[in-house]
Amino acid sequence: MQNLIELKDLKREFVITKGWIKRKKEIVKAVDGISFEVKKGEIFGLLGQNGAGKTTIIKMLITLLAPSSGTCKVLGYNTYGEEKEFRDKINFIFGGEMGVYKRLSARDNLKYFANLYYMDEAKANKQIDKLLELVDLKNKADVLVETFSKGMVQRLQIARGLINDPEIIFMDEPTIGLDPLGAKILRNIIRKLKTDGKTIMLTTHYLYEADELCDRIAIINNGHLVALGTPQELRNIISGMNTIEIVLEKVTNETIDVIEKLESVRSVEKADTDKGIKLIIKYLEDADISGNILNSLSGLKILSFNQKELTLEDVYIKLVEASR
Amino acid sequence: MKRFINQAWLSFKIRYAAISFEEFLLLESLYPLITLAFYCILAAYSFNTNNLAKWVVGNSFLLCTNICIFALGSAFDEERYTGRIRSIIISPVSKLLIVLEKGFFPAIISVITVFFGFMIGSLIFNVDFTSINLWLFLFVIIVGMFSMTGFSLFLSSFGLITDSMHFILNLVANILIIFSGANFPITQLPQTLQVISKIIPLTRSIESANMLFGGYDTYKFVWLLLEEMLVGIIFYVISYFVIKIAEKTAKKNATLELF
Ligand SMILES: Nc1ncnc2c1ncn2[C@@H]1O[C@H](COP(=O)(O)OP(=O)(O)OP(=O)(O)O)[C@@H](O)[C@H]1O
Ligand SMILES: [Mg+2]
Repeated sequence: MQNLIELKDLKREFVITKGWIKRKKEIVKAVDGISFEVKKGEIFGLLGQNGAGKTTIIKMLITLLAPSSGTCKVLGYNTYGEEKEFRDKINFIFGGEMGVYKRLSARDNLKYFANLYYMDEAKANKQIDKLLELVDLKNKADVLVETFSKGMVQRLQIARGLINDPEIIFMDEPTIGLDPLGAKILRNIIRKLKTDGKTIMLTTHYLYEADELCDRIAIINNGHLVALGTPQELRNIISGMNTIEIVLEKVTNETIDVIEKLESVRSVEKADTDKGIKLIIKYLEDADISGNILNSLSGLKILSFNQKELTLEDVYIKLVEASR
Repeated sequence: MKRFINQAWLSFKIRYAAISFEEFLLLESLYPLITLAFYCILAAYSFNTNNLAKWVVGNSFLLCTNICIFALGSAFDEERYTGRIRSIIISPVSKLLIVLEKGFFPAIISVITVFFGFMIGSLIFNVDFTSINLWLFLFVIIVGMFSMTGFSLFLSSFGLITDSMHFILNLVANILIIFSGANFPITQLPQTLQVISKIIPLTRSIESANMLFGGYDTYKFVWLLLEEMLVGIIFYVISYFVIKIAEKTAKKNATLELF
């Protein structure tokens, strides 16, 4: 498969001048040597703390910012210097309310943006109707954006980002400000774009979202790459353990012994809680042991039974903390 | 071309949709007229003259500077403040075109403003314009506008790299008032500063418009207009390159976005 995005030892520094009379210069290394590739048709996630450098990476990819050093290529072209070659094949969706014309209607906004790509009028109008439908703004198409709610503006941003039918779409926190339903609609749009063969790079602070959507994820901290892989691979880095939590009315030590001796079980912890006695059982990930555990508990009153998979959030927190 | 007009119209709506037609008239014509009256009265007292033709002409030209400088000059600046510059920068559109689109309708309006500013000013200050060829006068205005547009394009590129556009635009507007010969004869300026008058737009259009009132030398008149056009063209060409350079610089120094 083809690499549509290619970063090699990419760096970007910002110079901040502090003070008013006595000027002090300070250099912030926002992106400090990052390398990875994104293949055609992938949904690629960028995760990381506030200030990790995600937006900076995206800005360099969409030709808004020049790299300080290293390679930053989209569709085989340098994003600084060879912008012309691929501009009409990319677009972006940024979260937030900036970036649309409040004094124009939704339709006029999209017309304006379509003209930035020199689209011919008939084609543009068709595309605009399609997009307005896609983001569910059809009945508000001719209302001034001034009167839109935050989520509606955000949906207009999504339509804007798709106006030129881009090959690669860069999304920076696209679901921020959307209600749960709106966020779900967007996730469905993202999946549909993938089936249409588009490539997507997205950042988000919602880990379940990344887990659900992304084929591969890069975790970034302080401008460095901390981990890279499929959501499953990232889980494996942390541990091969899963957890089952069972709350019982009462339990004997013999029963605990029996469970501990089950194949694949690695540890059993006992804790008294308000609701009863909680057993926390850790076992090897691929094993299917819930049946065996239930057998050994026969006759006891089970108040709750919870099979917990390691979430991406657990992984993320561990990796980011470890990289400090 | 149709796309250009469409985009220009949308840009115009963006700029003015918030105000009603009446407010628009007030803003775009009453305010300039008052400015014009102010300078003419000032001139009448300080130069102790009854022949105000020169000031009416000069100041009606200045009416267009504000519209032109601020509509075109602040094009990128405005987009930066609203976070819309991203969409423009990453798209294939010519950045020069964006500024021109934004300035197109304001420029037409300012031609009309100059023309009517001149008529109304003349009526108020008893300037006899029946003897001059109004079509020729209109043509001079259009030539003046042309070079002003080139000049404002040049200014607009700075909007990509500096946060002080308001200051720059106001400064330039005042430079034009002083150095274009609208209010003070250029010959009264120190020799070195007269150079500024030579390189800015409007100076020559104002001079040639004034020539319409006295008996004039056709050769010199045409020559002045050609020079004015040349000034405009030079600024267009410079802008073409300066905008590209400014775009690159902005990407290097991260000044495209303010947040
Ligand atoms: N134009 C700029 N000038 C100076 N410093 C900047 C600029 N843009 C970003 N930075 C700095 O670069 C670092 C990375 O910022 P960036 O916006 O890429 O983070 P992020 O990962 O997108 O964070 P968030 O999750 O908060 O959006 C931060 O320390 C930020 O302060
Ligand atoms: Mg960010």
